[in-house]
Amino acid sequence: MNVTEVVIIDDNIKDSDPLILELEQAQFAPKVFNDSNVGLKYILDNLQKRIVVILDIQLGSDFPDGKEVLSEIRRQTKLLPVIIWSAQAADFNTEYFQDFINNHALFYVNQTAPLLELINRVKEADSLLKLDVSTAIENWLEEVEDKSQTMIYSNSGKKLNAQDIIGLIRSQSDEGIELQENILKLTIDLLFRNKEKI
Amino acid sequence: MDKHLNWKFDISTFRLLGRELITDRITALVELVKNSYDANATEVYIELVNTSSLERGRIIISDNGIGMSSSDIENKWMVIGTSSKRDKKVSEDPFRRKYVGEKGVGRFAIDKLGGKCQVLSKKKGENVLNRLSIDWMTYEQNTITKDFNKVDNTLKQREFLSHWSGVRLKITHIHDVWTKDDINRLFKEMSKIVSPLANLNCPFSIYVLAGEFQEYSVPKLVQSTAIKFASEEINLSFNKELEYQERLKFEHGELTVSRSEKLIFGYINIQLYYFDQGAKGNFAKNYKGAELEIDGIKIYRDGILATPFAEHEADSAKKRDILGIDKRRYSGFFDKVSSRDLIGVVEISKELCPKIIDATNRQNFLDNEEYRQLKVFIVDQLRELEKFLTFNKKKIYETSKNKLGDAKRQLGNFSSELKNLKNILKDDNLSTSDANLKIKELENAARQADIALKKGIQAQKKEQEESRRKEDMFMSLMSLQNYALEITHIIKTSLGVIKRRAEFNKKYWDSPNLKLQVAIEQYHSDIVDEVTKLDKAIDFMSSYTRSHKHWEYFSVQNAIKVIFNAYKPIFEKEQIKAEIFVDNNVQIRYNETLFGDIIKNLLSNSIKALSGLENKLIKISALDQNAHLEMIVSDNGAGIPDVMKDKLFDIYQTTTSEDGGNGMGLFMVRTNLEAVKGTIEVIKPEFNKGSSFKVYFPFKKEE
Repeated sequence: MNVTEVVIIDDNIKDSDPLILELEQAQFAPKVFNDSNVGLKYILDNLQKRIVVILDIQLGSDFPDGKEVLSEIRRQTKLLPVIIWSAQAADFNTEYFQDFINNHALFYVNQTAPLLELINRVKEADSLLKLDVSTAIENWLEEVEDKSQTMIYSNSGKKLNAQDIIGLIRSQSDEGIELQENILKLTIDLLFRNKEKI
Repeated sequence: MDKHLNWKFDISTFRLLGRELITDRITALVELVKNSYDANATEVYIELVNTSSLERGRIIISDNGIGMSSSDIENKWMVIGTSSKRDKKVSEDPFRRKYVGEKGVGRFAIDKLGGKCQVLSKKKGENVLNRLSIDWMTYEQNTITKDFNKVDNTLKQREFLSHWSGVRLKITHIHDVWTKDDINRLFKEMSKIVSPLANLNCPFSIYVLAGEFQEYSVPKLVQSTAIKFASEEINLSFNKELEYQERLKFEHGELTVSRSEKLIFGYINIQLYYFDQGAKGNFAKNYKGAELEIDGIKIYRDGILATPFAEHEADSAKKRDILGIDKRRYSGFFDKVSSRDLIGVVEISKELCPKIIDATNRQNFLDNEEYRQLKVFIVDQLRELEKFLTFNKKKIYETSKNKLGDAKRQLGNFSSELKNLKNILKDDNLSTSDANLKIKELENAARQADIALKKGIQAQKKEQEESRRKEDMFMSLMSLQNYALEITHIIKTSLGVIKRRAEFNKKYWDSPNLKLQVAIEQYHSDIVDEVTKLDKAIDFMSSYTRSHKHWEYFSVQNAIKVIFNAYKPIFEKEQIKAEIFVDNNVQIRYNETLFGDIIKNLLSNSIKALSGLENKLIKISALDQNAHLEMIVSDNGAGIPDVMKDKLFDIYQTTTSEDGGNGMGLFMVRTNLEAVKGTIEVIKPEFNKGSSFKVYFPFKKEE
């Protein structure tokens, strides 16, 4: 079984932080990035991996902050679970957090909260990844060898290859969601047609 | 045996209620028009036909709103006291107007106007015309039962194929004759419920027609009067062909419209109405259009309200401030305008502002460079307006000060003339007891006036001092707020580090796992380090608890060192080399906290300016220059962009909440310094790049 990677982007955290050891104890593979640029690049280069992100907000004045990192991730995919982990007081400014919600941050955990809370949130995010239909379809498509080959035709007659479909599903746009629903319907239909073979 | 009793509703009660609710016939018509507004009508016609005669007169109110179905009439309109507007706060899509009609009293309004009424209505999307006839006179004649429920009203229906939907009320057997003055008064009242911005999202036009009078012989469009209450009106436009966007500029005491090149977000129109205290009072007193409040700037895209996305929020304090107007921390204070002083419309279009995109949840626009610049542009316009308002305020103050001075001089002249006159009379032996008495009275009056004037001048001075004192206090509070935000973050980060380690150690202290045991040991010393850091931060913070000591002599060198120590972790993290050159034993008499604020503000700016560069340097030098202390704060950072140089010491716009107080630092520094007649200026960069600030403290050093 593949181990879920937990990417931590936080300018203050050391590799030796208890969080890292706890994540290892919980059978995750933590990766720490103090430089948010490098962390972001790693995520975007490894979208096919099963990753949960723990993201700090203030990441040093030289680097993109949590808000920017999250919005960059969301440009590419809506499927990756991101947990905001910050020392910012939760009541700091509701409008401030609105942007995180807009960008589908999964949870907010304060840095002074018990470590167990964060670990549990990571576990929840991980099970979401395992159970989520979109992710399942995404994983299935990732396994397609020739991603440039046309797989399906859309209602409007557009040719779609695996790469296109991955893009659409990650975007979770109306078109992507509709496509995903159609794939699901088709799957169920196929399953029922060959019921006796299951 | 039990007997069941029912409440009976007497007709006189009904009419009494109606008359309590609707005080006069013009209010009655206003209520009916408000109902049309709530029904999403875009046009309402009020037609007064032969209303100079009670017998022949009729009043017709027709609109093109969503209309009523037979069920609406039966279950809503005919049920007294009910109002669907209680449950819903806004009208149907697409307008989502905030309901303005009173709760279910429109029906009483009809009663106020005439004895009979015919309601014609066609619901939008249906092909049925409903006709309800109500004869209030029958109700009155129904003396036998006097029971309101016992009177039948007839509802007739027929098929009606038409695009029209809406309601048409025809009221006959009018109770009052309408003279031209009455109609003028009606017209004026109607003008108070029309929004001046109605041509945008919710086109709503009211026409008054009264064939008996020349002026109203053709439908007369009611124009809004709300705007005439505004103290400033601003219209900014653009020209796509000539590629310019208009913007405000305050120059030489005047607010003018200048042109700038096309901006990154595209072209926009802005209408702004500013209301000062007096104007707000007039607005509230005279303008009854509840759909228009002085509630800030809204963005319309292609005529549809885009933000705050037509959401209804009665409590203005909870309204979203996506443009960040009130977030500029100074809202409502001193020279800042807040959304409670403004009505404004920013018109954007898909075609001309293609990059201003709704966020998916429609809570804001997508956060991109174009939208950020749009916000900056809007707030920029407010800044120019603020400069103008401040200038005017000062001018008014100066004028009244001069006038008081003039009055005092004139009074002086008068007194000496009086003295001359007295002497002349005396010399010429003309003085009589009467004349003496009169002169004495005049002298007394002059003395009294002199005393009153002096008091006036004193009061004015005192008021000015008081306002300055409040402003200073507020400034200090603001810096504290920013500082508190920063320090909270530092402490919470540190606490997080400690807590995680302590938790971990508690959990695994007896684990046989060697790796964990090594970690535990490391965490023990981490905790000690973190606590030491925290201790220092708290020491630094406690300087604020001493801020009640307003004026004191303190060592400049020590004060700067304390701050540098507190900033040490940041300097280390950002790899900044920080140097202090301060003459030994230089002491100034100042508020140490405020002094600290000045240094901290300048340091923060330098740290930001150094971001992303190499060989970062910050240097503070302070020299004893006899009459004053001269302090120079320099860095070798990115320097001050040319465009910023002019507005460096202004509070520049904070367009996003996370910037919080950023950008107000230098304004605060300058204001703090002004309070002690100090100055701050930008000088040639000491390191040939970056920036250098020269600060003067004009306080004598301790001898």
